[in-house]
Amino acid sequence: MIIYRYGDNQMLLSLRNGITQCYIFTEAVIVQNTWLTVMATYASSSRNIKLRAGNVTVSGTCSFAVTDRVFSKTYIGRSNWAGDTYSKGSIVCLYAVDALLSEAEISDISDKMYRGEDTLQSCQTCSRLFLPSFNEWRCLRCLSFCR
Amino acid sequence: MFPAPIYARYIRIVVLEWNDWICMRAALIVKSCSTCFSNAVSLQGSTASSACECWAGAYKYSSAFGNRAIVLVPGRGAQFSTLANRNQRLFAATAIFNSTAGPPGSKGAVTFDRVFSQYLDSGTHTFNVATNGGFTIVSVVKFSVPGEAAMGERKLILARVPKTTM
Repeated sequence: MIIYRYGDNQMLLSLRNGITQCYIFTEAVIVQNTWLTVMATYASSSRNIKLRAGNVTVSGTCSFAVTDRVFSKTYIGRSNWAGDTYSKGSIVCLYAVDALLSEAEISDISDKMYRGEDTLQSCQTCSRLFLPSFNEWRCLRCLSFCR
Repeated sequence: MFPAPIYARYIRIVVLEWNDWICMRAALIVKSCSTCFSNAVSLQGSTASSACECWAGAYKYSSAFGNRAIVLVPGRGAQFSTLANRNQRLFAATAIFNSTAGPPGSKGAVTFDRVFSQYLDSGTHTFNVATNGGFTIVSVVKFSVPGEAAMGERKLILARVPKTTM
């Protein structure tokens, strides 16, 4: 799975299965020195891939199914090919999971990134849906702050 | 003592016998925050007292798939993280975390300088893409130099995960 800058100002998502490649790329979306939200998904049921960079979304269908895999490296800033140049830029956060998230879940993660919040876990206010004394009894003992 | 905590709003003490007059002293042994209610809102978080890291009136929450995600956590430096391994994950990093490099309102960003061949590597990670229905990658990035003319050259690899086993 690779996401990279394609040409001057496009983004590209590539999935590989041996020598076979499945890829899609956006139109010009990259503005130099401007923050860009990038999202990529793959649905195993349909083999559909989607890449969104900023307000531009492209999608396609892969001819092969991506299998369960153990990856030895997860790089940011470089590729696995020795001839490739390294990156010059910045990244606020990266979230990668083997699940097809909903638009709402993706939006929530993206919003947290811009706020500098942890995307793996968060502190949530105790609900009053259950007996108030129960929740207060439990939650009042969680006194330290989120880390 | 009960073998397991019993969650209740009220306690009723019913006196069954007494001698001369009714008199008693009673107290409750209250279990501290060690186990969440099976039907409570904190089902996915704070299941142990050591996990109670939120302020009063709050509980720690993670999504159902959070334990499978690998994340570059905002504001935590140039370090990948998983929910199960927040601070000890092996990684190779030459990129630099800058607390002022992020967008307004954020907690900084990791910067990459091509001159110094800077990058991050999180090591081995399992993605059960087929079993779990697919994958999702979300990121916020900024490119600092123009792309090169040659199409297909890789300027920024957000996630490069070469296959080693299947």
